[in-house]
Amino acid sequence: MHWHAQHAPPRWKVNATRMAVVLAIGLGWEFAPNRVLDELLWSRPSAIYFQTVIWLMDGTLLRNALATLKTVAAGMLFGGAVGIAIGLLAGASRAVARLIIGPIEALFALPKITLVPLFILWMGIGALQHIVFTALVVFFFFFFATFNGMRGIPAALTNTLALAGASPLQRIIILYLPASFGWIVIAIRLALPYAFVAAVSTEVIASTSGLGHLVKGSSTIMNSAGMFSAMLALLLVSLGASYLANAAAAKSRWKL
Amino acid sequence: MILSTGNSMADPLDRQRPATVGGTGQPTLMFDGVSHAFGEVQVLDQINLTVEHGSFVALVGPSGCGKTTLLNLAAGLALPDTGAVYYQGRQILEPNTRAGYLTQDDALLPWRDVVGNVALPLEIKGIGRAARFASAREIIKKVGLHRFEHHRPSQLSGGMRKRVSLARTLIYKPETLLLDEPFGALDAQTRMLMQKQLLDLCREFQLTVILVTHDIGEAIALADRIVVLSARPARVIEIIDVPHPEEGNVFRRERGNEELYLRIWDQLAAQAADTGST
Repeated sequence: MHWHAQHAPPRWKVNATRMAVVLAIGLGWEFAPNRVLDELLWSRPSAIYFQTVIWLMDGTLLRNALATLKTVAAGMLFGGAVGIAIGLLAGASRAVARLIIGPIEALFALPKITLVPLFILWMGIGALQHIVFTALVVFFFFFFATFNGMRGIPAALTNTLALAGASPLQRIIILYLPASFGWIVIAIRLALPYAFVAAVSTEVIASTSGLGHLVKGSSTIMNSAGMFSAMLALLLVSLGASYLANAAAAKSRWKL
Repeated sequence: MILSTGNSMADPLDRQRPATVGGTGQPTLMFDGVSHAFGEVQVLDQINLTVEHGSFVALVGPSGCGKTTLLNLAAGLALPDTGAVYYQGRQILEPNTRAGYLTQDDALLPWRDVVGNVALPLEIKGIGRAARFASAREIIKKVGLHRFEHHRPSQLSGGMRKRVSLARTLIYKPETLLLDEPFGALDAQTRMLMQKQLLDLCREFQLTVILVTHDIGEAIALADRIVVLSARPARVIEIIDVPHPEEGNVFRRERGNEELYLRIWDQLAAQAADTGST
């Protein structure tokens, strides 16, 4: 008998146990007396359910989820493009690398949430501010990925292209981007959850739409069911986006 | 240890007249008083050397003596600290795109198949996909890899990868080949086959070849002339004509010159003993 055969429980047992735990928590939450779980602060699963149905019907959840998704997508695109571009520049030129690595690492170490008030002063509380902040957060993933990918390129390959008379653009397309591709795919997968954190953080601080705005808005009017409903929506949207990104990454797996 | 300023050790004869090597009389490559250092380590000391069109010249010298640096200068991948390198009469100031450079490493793009790698130089020159792939297939056939056109480098043996590199270098139709210990990592049998193939291709394309090697046998088997370099910093010690009564067979070319082999061996051993380098 294989040693691991004894330890791997059948799948249905695992799922049944999970269901039982979730059901127990749900029932406990629903029927706990008010002095244990104050309904005003904790809400009830049934109240969360009704709030979710109402918001689904009137389009509140969809509208705010789309707003958050737009911020995340625009932030990833913008931050990714700038991160890759600057990563290429730093990877191609030692002078540029020496010049900018210090400042970039300093900025990377800074808790970026402290920049939000400054960004609000500069750009207001609209979509632009959310996108710029999200882009800044994901920038570092793409910068370091591209920069590291390029540093791993053997000198012999760079020399080969130089001797063939490759232009800077040809070097980027033929060598630099393909060599960094695997790193960039990893950067997308790592950066995506952080893009959600960034987008929702700015929405919670100050905004006019988005799931973070919905959580914050519900909190200020003591609508705890609304907070949980918005959080649940955020969880599903973020999980879905990560799932899609991972599936795309697996499909485009780079053969090295 | 020698940290030479470049003047003390060299044989004065070497510097007064550039050593002229091989071929038809027209210089393809000329090193004119070339010295080079990496930081405080002097690697080349007043190298004067002319390689004539159509010749096959081997540079031998103790390990670490600066042979590869000489090739890098000829390829324009680095510029000498003092002196100048001329290619067909023009000073080399940027990467020399008319010389094919085959390095110790394979330098193949790992994500491309054989055809894509071999066609790379033509792609950079802006030649269309169909035309460059046709040229690539032709030259891949010449190096005997036509059954492996769509394999990636990781799926090939060391000897095959070397032949892919050689095919990519030849697709430029370069006038000059710079070879940096190209067959050093191959097993003896593959090496001999590659050497034979190289000689055939050199004749077919009428190439001027500069081969850097630490393998005296290889130098004797392939080259018309051998330039013996000193230990670091490299100076030209001697230039030797290699008689080749027997054409074609690499093994016989090598074995037919036992005395020459021993002579060069003694020179290199003396150099290594001089500086304690190995």
